[in-house]
Parts: sequence; structure tokens; C-alpha cells
Amino acid sequence: MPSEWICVDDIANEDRAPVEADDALQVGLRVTLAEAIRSSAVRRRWPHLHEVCRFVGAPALREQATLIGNLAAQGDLVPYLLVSQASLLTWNEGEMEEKSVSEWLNSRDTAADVLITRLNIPKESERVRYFVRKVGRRAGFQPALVTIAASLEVDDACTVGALRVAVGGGAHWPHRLPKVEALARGERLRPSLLRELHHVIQSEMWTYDDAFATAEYRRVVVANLVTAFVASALEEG
Amino acid sequence: MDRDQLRSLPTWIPRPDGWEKARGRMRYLTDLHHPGMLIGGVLRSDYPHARIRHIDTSRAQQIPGVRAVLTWRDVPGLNRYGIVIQDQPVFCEDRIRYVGDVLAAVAADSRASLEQALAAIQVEYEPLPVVAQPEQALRRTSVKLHPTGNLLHRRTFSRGDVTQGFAASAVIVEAVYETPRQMHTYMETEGGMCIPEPDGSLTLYAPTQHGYGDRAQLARILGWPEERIRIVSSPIGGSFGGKDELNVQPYLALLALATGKPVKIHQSRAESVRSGLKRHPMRIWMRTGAARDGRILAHDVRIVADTGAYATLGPAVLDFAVEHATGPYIIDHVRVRGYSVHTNCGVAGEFRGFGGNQVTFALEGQMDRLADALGIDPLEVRRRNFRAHSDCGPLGQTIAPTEGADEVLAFVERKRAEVQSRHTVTSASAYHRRGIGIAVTMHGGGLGLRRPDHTGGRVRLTRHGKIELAFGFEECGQGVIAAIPLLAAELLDCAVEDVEVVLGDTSRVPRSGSSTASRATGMVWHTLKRIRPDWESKMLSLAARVAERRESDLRLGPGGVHERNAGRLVASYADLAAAAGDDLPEVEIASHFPVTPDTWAQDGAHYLYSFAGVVAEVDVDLLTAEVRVTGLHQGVWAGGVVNPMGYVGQIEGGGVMGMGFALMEDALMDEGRYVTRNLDTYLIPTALDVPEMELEAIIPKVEDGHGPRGVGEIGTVAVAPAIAAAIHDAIGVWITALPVRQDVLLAEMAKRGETLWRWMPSDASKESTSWGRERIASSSS
Repeated sequence: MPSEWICVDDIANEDRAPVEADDALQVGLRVTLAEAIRSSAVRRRWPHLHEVCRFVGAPALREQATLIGNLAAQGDLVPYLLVSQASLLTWNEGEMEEKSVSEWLNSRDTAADVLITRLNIPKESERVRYFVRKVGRRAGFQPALVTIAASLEVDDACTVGALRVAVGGGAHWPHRLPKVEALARGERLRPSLLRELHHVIQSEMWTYDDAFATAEYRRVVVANLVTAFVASALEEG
Repeated sequence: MDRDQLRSLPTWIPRPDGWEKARGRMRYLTDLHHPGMLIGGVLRSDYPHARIRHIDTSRAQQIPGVRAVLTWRDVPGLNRYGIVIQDQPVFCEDRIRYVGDVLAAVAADSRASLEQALAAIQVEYEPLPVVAQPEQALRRTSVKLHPTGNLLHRRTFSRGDVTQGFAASAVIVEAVYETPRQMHTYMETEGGMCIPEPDGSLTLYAPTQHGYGDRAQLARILGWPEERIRIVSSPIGGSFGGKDELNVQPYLALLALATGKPVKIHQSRAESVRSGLKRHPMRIWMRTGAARDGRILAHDVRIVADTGAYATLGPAVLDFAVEHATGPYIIDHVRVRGYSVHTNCGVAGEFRGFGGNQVTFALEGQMDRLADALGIDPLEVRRRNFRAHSDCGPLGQTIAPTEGADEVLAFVERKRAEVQSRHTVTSASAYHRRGIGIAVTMHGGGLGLRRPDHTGGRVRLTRHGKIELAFGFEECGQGVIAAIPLLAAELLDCAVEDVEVVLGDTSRVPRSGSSTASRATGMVWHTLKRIRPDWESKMLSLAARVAERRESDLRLGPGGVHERNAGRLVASYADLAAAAGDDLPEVEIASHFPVTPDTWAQDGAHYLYSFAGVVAEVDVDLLTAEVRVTGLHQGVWAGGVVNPMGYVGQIEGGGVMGMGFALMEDALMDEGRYVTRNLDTYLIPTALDVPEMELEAIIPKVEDGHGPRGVGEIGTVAVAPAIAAAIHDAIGVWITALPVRQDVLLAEMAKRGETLWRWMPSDASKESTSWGRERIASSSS
């Protein structure tokens, strides 16, 4: 729970709904999760963002909670934003700066008095497979045990162009798994690669034990889900 | 009768408080506001176990707006409470035993002053070693939490010779079962208001399951006669057993007395978690032996219940668990040993199911393991050991004969076959497995033998021509407020609209005992049955006088008294009220819940039982071990159905609560402190978790003279073992601890070699698949 809250209700000239522009979705700081879910553009061209927004919080909460608020709190949205290579616009004492979500997470901005004013989310490509999942202890309105997003580009020869995997949710600091991604890049999809991926995901991801699940569980679950996702490309062709 | 048939009954009518509740407009007692009222609160312990060296309230008293700061020195009567054993301090004097223990209470003009004052109270503690586990508490070397030691209560039962039974057994199964510290999670947290009246009495508005019970307890604390206290106690925003014991009422009363002003307290959810009762976590060891044909020959049970810091109803909960350790099965050689043990882990007490849910999870788990070991259908193993109509109760006592056991087993057989036929459709994904599980139970109603289980009620004609029915039960959400008019219509031949119900005010209602143990609806039925002859006689005599007719020509009816044969209305209830003047007909009776005639039986032995059979369907995600209940079907035998909508609500609501117990609810503690301190980590099922639920209310073919049994608890009892059995059916893992933890399940699956590679479609998991080669070939061509 953040210690400080910023009311964005009265900021003028800010869109309440996400805006589609130049193959990207522009999300202002007043855009709520509920508005994103209601947006036909999101439903059609960002179907996995749509899915992610639906597993954050509960209906009443989504009417109030914003996408940028979720990002600022390193919530369930972030793995998807990392995988989709979203960028954001920050405001820091009058200076505007654009950076990727990944850069922002790795900068000191998250702890400083830097406001996020806009989020740009590239359109989901039809050539790319996406996967998003929140694993928890009940069907909805819950803190995640772990939240995962992944994307996979495979050519007709079954060679991986790019695999992106990000982990977050719960008390995780959202992070990509670069070793896993590098392991798959340029490789032909094959069962032995799946086994390697399953192994490296577990060794690379940062996770934790808490009262509700062991770190081991979180590692295996992420490895299982991501590997099964990658394998589905093999199965479906 | 299934749900559709129940819906088609003329008695399927919305409950009188339904609209207000559904729209959020019901004014609960914790919503009350009084001009000039003070805000009250209490200081609870920083430690789960400590000695108190010193309490200094002087700084708190000087804070502007603070009207009273009280400690144990300010209690005029007994500084203790507890429904049966008064061992829980109102204010601790020198010893802390759990994190909810109270050291001081404050009343102030505002919440800000209150919070400042609570923070300004200085307590010097001497922390003591925390007794966090019952097994640890039972050791000779353990710190003693009470002068009598850490064993609150021991209850044993035996029949035959288990050693002989095991020696003759072809198969023996043994397991240890653990159940969680489930929280009642009533929507309305504890609170209320106390108003000092000009005549020196007190009126206390606070939700409770037993207004007269609270009155007696408060009178002891204040050193007053009970009559000086009026308790207004309904409506209640949920209780489930959690509000039978006192909670904040003593502080409301003491602060109101000290300040001479109305005082309100309403606990936050966090404080409710910290201080409120929970379901007893139990560790149950069971060893069960059977002959090759499935007949159980021996059953040995050891139950250790973590009752926490104070007694409340811990002994009775243990007695119930011991009684139900053999459930509906007839076993020659039985030994049950039960221990209820004090620890520094909160306080456990009464909770829907009352020890039955825990022991049924273990017992039904044993039945499934036996069936597995013998290679016999789990349902058939149950049938071979099932009680007959006139068999004795589990403690050997005479009970009301009933066909309930057979009926619920027949339901389970029917429903399971139906569900199995639906399951032939293959699962949507390679990474999901479905399973079906069954469980049955019998559950005693009422408090049992030699318990003070008094009841009663009053009927009278009001000045306005209404039939007023007054009971000391509470409306805690269960719907007794809807059941009473329906029962009156049936048993007093009036219309539902003729009835006015009065509940929840000790100045207006007779004693009816507590709203607990699935007893209220049944007791209304018994009371009205007994009231009927006198009531009829008084009303017909009055009507005969008014209409100048013979009594024998008249009968009671909707709207008033009618001609016995022609049915024409002779005098409306309003006419009769007007004619009666000040001599309005009134009948009041006192009675007792039916008990077994076998006075030699153990304390708490029951006479009336209800029965349930459950079929659960689950879907297990093999990649994450997430368990989703996809179907939960209950067949319930509980006498007749009084209020069909309430019946459905109780069974479905109970089913969801049982799912929570099975899959997610546990108030986790670490060294006597709550880890799950609010509803963000203590999870209960939401609407999204609720599966398809079917219900069959099994109506007795012949009314047996004992009326409806009450369904407040039965819908929760056998849900968890059915879900556990369904999980085993899906993935082959036996569940021994609730709630089912996904990490444990996944690790168990891995131990059995059930990993991703086994489930992955063969194309993707095998290196030498032709698929890979063909794809490469086709892409390079």
C-alpha cells in the first residue's frame, strides 16, 4: 500500500479513456482500468492488456484505480508493460522525459518525486504470441502470488525471433528474464530447448518465500507456465 | 425437492428484511448515532504472552476531549467473562495471554482524542515465552497459561476393544489431518452503543446471538441485577457463531457508566481479526481398520484442538468433535481421545459446524483411504458401514429414528452418476484434470444432554389486531425473521400478513436461549406447536363471545376467526382486538430442546440430527496446482422445509463457507501474532469462486413429531472432505491439511513424477517427433 496518494480527478485536459494513436495506445494519468476494459480499441488490438486489466483488483476498485497508478505501485500490469515494451512520460520539476518502463523501473525515479503522466503501449502484433497470467489463491480480487507476461515471435522455420518474459505481482520487483530470453533467441524451438528454458527460468527469476507460498513454488509455476506457453507454439505450429 | 421445486412453493417469499439489506439501507446497531455520544475504544496487548509490570494512564487522561480511561481497577463486579467458564479478563490485571487481550478502555469526544489517548497509555510489559502449539503446551515443561494448566478439557469415548478390532482387520489406514483457524468474517464487525438511562439502568445496543446471555454476563461484570440492563441485539450483520460470546459489550457498558453519556464502539476489521474468535484448528490422528469386505472393525482417534487463550465454548466444541468422530457409521471397536489445549494463539470458540467440520474432514478422508486400499467404491464402503433407521447415536445414545442417512447416500449415488456422465467430455486443456469427490455427514442439533438448552416464546394479539410472536432468538442473517411468520401461518392457521415478529430486545421478548446450534427454527416450531391449544382456546372463546356463536363452530384462519364448516370470516383479528379491550389474548410457554432419554449418556450427546451428502467437482491446473471447484451439490435431510428461500441460502452460503475452509481460509499466526491481519491476506471466496451449486432438500415421508431440524450448519460440514476427495480423484494426491496449499500440492505432484513433461502433448515434449522434422523440411523446401 503506497504511503502517499495523488488525486488526479481534477487535472484538466486529461483523457479519461485511452487514445489510439500511431500504432500505440496512449494512456493518460486519469485512465482507469475500467475505462481501458470498456475501450473497444483495447479489446480488439490490445486483447492481452484487456485481460490483464481484468485481473487487477475488483470491479468497484477498477472504476477508481488507474493504469498509471498500478504501474507506480509496481502492480500486476507491469510484467505486461515490460513485455510489450511500453514507454512512459515522466514529469520531474517541470521537465518531461520519455523512457521505457524497463528503464524507469531500473532508475531511481520510482523512489523519487517523479510523476508519470503518460503511458505508451505498442499495439499487439498479430505475428507475436502473448501470454499473461496472474496466479493467486482465489479467482479474483487478490494479491498475486506471481504475475507473468511473455511474448514470443517464431518464424515459419520454428526459430525464435524473440522471447520476452517478465515476472511481477505480489512483492516481486517486476523484472524481465534476460538470460532466458537470450537462451531462446535465434534457436529452433525443440524439446531440449524447452527443458533448458524451464531450468533457466527457475534459476534466473528473483522471488521469495512468504506465508502463502514458497519461493520454490513460484519458480516452478513461472517455469511451467512459460514453458507450456512456448511449447504451445510447437504444438499449434 | 430441488431448487426449482423449492422456488415453486407458495412459501417461497422474499424475507421481510431482504430489500433493505440488498440495497444497503438496513440500519444495523453499529450504524446508530446519538447526539452527544462519545467514541470508545480499547487498548489491546502488544504481546501474545507477557506479564504486566505497570500501566500508567495519567497522560491519556489529560488529553483534551478524553472523558474516561478505565482499567481493571474500574470493574465493579467480576473482572471476567465467558459463557460457561468465566476465565477471560475484561481488563488484564497482571498477565497477557493473547494479542487481543485488553488493558484499558477510553471514551472521548472524538476519534482523534481517542486515538491520541490510546497511544498515550504507557504499559510496561515483561514478555514471556509464547506457547504457540498445542503439542508444545501439553509438555510438562511448558509455561502454564492458567493456574489449572494448559489442558482446558479432555473428552474420551470408547466402545469395544480397538486392539482386537485392528488385529482382525485386513486393511488399516492411518493419517494425521490438520484444519485451519478459519475466521467467521461476518460483514459487520463487533460494536454497538450503550446508553445510560435516567432511571439508572443501561440500554445496550450491540449485536449478539443471545441477548439474555449477554445480559447475565454484563450483570456479573457490573455487579448489578440483570433487570437493570436492557439488551437490544438484532439485526446483526452476520455472526456464524462468532458473536455468541461477549466482545466489546463490557467496555461499552463500563464507559457509559463512567461517563454518564452514550458511548459507541465499532471495531475496525484489523481489530476484529486481532480480537475475534476463530474456528478451532485441530490436529486429528485417525487409524481405521476394516475387513476385506469393507466392514470397519476398529477406529482409533486422537483430537488435539487449539483453543487459544481462554475457554469460551472450547470444551463443548471438543465434545461435539468427539461425538461426531464416527459420524453415521456403526463401528464395534472405537476409541476417541480429545484434548482442548490452551495456547497464546488468539481465542477459538463457537463456529458454524462446532467441531463437526474438522472431524468430518478426517473421518471422510479415512473412508476414502479405506476404499482405495480395499479397491472398493468409496460410496460402497460408506454404505456397508452406514447406520440403519433405528440405530443408536454415535455415543451409543438413543436418538430420534430417521431415514436421513439412507436418503443422503441415495442422493450422493444419484448425483455422482449424473456428474460422472457429464465428465465424459474431455478437458479443454492438456494441463487440467478434473475430479469428483463425495462425502456424507450427520450433525447434531441443539446443545445436547445436560446443557442449558431452554427455549420458549410468546404469542399475543396486539391492540391493532396483529398476532405478535416474540422470541429471544436473534436475527443474525440466517432468516429466522422470515421463518417465524411462515411457521405461524402453518401452525396457528393465520396468514403471514397477520404476524408481527419481535426479536432482539430483552425488554420485549421472553427467553428462548441462544441463536446457535441450528436450533432457532426448530424451537419456533416446537414452541408454536405447544402454544397452539391455549391460543386457539383463548381466541375462539373471545370470538364466540364477540360473534355470539358456539366455540365448536369456529376455527382459526387467515385474517381472523372463521366458521368451522362454511369457512366464512366471523371476526377479524382487528375486531377481536377491539372487543378484547385490555384483556388481549396472550400465551407464553417455556420449554427445552429435545434430548435423548438415555440420561447415562455423555454430556452434550444429541438426540436430533440432520444429514448431508455432498458431491464436489474440481478442476486442477497441473501447471500451478490451482484448484477450482466447478460443482458443489448437496443433498440435505433436515426434517421439513419451513422457509425455502432461507433453506437454499443457508445451504449455498454454508457450501461457500465450506469451500473457503477447504481451499483458502486460514488466520495464520506466527508465534502468537496474526500474519493475516486483514482481508487483503485472509482470503474468503468471492462470487468468482462460487461454482455451479445444486441442492436437494430431502423431505421426510412422514413427519416424525420433531419438526424441522434447522439448516444453519449442515451445509458447511461435509464440503471440505468432498473437495479433498475430488482433488485426489483428479491428481492422486491425498489431502491431509486444510486449506489446500498450492505449493504443497505442486510439490506432492512432483514427488509422484507428475511434472510438466508428463502432461505436455507428445509433439512438444519429445525430441524425435516427426513434427519437428516435417516442419523444418517444409520450411526449407
